[in-house]
Amino acid sequence: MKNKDMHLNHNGLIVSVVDENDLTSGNREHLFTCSICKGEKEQLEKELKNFGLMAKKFAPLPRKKIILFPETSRNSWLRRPVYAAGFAVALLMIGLWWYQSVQVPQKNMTAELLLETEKDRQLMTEIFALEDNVLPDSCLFVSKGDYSYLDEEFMDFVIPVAKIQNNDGYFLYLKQKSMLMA
Amino acid sequence: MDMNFQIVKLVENAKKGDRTAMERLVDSFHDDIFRMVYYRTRSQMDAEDLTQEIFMKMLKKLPVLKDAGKFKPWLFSIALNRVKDFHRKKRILIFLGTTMQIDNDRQTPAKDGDNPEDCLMRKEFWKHFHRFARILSRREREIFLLRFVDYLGIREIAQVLKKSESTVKTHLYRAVKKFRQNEEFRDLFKGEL
Repeated sequence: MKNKDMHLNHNGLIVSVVDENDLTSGNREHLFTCSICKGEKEQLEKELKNFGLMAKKFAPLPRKKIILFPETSRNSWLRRPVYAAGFAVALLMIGLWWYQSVQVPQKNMTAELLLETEKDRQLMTEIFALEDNVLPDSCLFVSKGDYSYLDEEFMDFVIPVAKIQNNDGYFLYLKQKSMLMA
Repeated sequence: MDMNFQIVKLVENAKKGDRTAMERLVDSFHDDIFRMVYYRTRSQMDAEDLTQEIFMKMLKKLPVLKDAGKFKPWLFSIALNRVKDFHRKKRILIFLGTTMQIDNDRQTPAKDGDNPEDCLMRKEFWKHFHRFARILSRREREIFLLRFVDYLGIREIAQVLKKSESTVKTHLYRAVKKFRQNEEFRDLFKGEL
C-alpha cells in the first residue's frame, strides 16, 4: 500500500520508460492513477521520441539506388584483362589472315598483267618483223638471201616488167621471180 | 495486410529466388538501413557505400536465414557488423597514417531548401548528439540508438546483439538515466517538433 501512494522516484521513472512491465505492481498501480508521475513519464518519452525524430530529420536521404543485380554487360567476360587480351590477339590474327587473303589475288592479278604485257611485246615484235618482211612464211624461201646489190635496172633486164593486171598476174610474177632465184 | 506479415511473405519469396521480392525488401528497408549507418558513420558517402554492401550481403546470406519473422533484426545485425568492420579498418588506417580523421561536423550535408536557421540547428544537433554519445559506453550507445533512433523493440535489439533481454534492458536503463541527467541535451527536445 505504501508503494501505491508514493510517487515514482528517478529510477522507477526510467524503468517505466524502458519497460513498464518491470515496475513493481505497486509502482505500476501508482503510475496508472498518478497524473504527476504519468506526466513525467510521458515527458521523458516525448523527449526521447523527439530525439529520434530530430535525428531522422537532420539525416540526409540516400542518393544512390541499391543495385542488387548488376547488368551482365558490366560484368562481361570482356572486362577480364586476360580474356580481353586473348580476344585482341584473335582479332589481330583474323585481321592478318584477311589481309593476306586480299593480297594473294592481287599478286595473281600482277602475274596475269605481266603475262599480258609479254604477249603484247611478242605481238609487237611480230608486227615489227612483218614490217621488215611482209611476205608470209611460205614465201620466205623465195626471198631468201640478200639481193640488195642487184639494182632495179638489172632486175628489169633479167625479168622484164610484166604488167600486173590482177592477183593472178602478181602470182605469176612471183613464180617467175622464185624460179629465177632457185 | 499486416506489415510484418508482408515482410515475412517477401522474405520467403526472396529465399526462393524471387527477384521482385528481393527488390521490394530492399525498398522497404533502404532508408532505415542507410540512416542507421549514417548515424554511426556521419558520412553520407560512406553510408551509401556501406548500405550497398549490406544489401549485397543480405542477398548472399538470405538462403541461410531460418526464421523469416526475424528478418529485421537479422538485417540490422548484418548492418551493425559491417559498421563495426568499417570503424575497425578506419582506425587501422588512421593509426598507419594512410588516412586522416575528418571532422564530422564538416561532413554534415545541407539538404535542398535548407535555410540558415535549419543549417545551424542541424549542426547544433549533431554536435550535441556526438557529445552525448561520448558519455555512453559502447554497449549503452548501441542499445540506446537501436531503441530510440532505429525504433527496434527490446526483443529485436536482443536478437541483433545476441544478448538476453535483461542485459539489453540494463544497458538501456543506464543510457536513459544518462540522457535524463543531461539537461543541456534534453533542452533540444522539449518543444514540439
